[in-house]
Amino acid sequence: MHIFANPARFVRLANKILPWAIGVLALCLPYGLYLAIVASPPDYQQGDSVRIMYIHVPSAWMAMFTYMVMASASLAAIVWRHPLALIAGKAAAPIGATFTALALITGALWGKPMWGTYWVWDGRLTSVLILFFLYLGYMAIWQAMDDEETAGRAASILALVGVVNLPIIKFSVDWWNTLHQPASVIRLDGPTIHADLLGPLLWMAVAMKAYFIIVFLWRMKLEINKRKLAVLQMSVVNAHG
Amino acid sequence: MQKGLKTRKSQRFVILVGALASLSVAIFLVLFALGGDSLSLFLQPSSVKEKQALGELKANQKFRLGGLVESGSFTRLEDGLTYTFKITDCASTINVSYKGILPDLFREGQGVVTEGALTADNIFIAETVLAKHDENYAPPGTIPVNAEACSHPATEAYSS
Amino acid sequence: MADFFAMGGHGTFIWLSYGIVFLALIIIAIMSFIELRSLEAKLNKLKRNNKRSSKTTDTPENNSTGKV
Repeated sequence: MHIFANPARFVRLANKILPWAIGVLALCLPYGLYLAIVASPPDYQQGDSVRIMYIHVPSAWMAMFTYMVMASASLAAIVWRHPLALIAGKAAAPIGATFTALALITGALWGKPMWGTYWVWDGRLTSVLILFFLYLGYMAIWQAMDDEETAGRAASILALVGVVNLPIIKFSVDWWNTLHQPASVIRLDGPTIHADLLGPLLWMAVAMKAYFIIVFLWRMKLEINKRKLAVLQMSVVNAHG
Repeated sequence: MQKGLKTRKSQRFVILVGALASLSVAIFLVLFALGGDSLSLFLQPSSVKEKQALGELKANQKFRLGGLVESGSFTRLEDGLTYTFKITDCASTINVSYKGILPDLFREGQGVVTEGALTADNIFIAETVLAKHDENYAPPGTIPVNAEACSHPATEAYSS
Repeated sequence: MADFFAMGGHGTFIWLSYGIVFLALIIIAIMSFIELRSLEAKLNKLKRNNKRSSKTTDTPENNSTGKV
């Protein structure tokens, strides 16, 4: 029963964090949206289309951040066999896959009016597409294998191998000629975004981070409950068997 | 026993991180062995000239050419559909001719990526023109942080 | 107002991207929450049943019928 000692403590902690995360989301999202859609000026080159950036860039950041969460959990799962680690990785994957898909879709919808095309096979776009397939592969392995332990370990190894893709995504725009623009916020010589356009971006980024924490904790509790349920059902069968 | 468990875990950790590190090194070696050119979406005018000098790039051979639209080089021909402009990387320049619709973001001083081929007299006939955006975002009327003489248009570009 | 929705001519792209992002994020959140709640409900029910059945299985005659 020591397996549940930790999860119980985790659920208590999660229940303490959740209201705060919901509060941050309720605060940052409306204000971020107000800045992004109404109050911020258009871009000197792109006009109002720049407003897509306020959801595209945070989605892309979250796609990579969620992958780091999933990969760290996978490392802990393989090395320390921490019972919560596998659950954390499994809980993060669908959220990360969604963020990645959204980054790709909003990027296409931004690319069409600005670049003149929805898609191009350049270093940045292709490496983010690979990130999406890594998420899908991770989830597929969980689905495909019956034994939770084996499935979790195989999926975790895939997640860890995929970590090499993260620096490729980040630096693709520096290493190769791409259609995608270089980094504007996280760069050595400071952001190249005017403060009036950086504000809404950061508010939206915080809102999406809070959203991630909420849904991630829900999904972890969900997975913990699934396992508890399986154990209880087993014990019922044993009692009657 | 407690100690044995700990060393096994740290062993697992070292083996795993070592395996992943060597895998990463292998992948990066492959990526860079392939060379920047093959993984890059387009060639810049300077590398086009280099390849021409080496005989690697022949007339009518298709490739993507990218760079900045040189300020003051853009003209619209009398048919109203054909445009000519120069693509530069601040070191070399190539003349481009394009018949079709230009993307919204196409401006002198801004980046473009074109696909087409060079004629025998070194004019690049583009079949597609995509606009490339740079890293600067700013409200109209302000000067972007990273503005450079070669790479940036005057600030009134927005009003056009 | 019409100007606001037109967004300088690219309104379709802008509103579509906002729409897709919010729809997708809301769906994932709601699906996760509903699944969590239904699992919690199942778990509570099972716990209650377990308690009841463990009480009844304490008596010998119930235990024997349970085994049949």
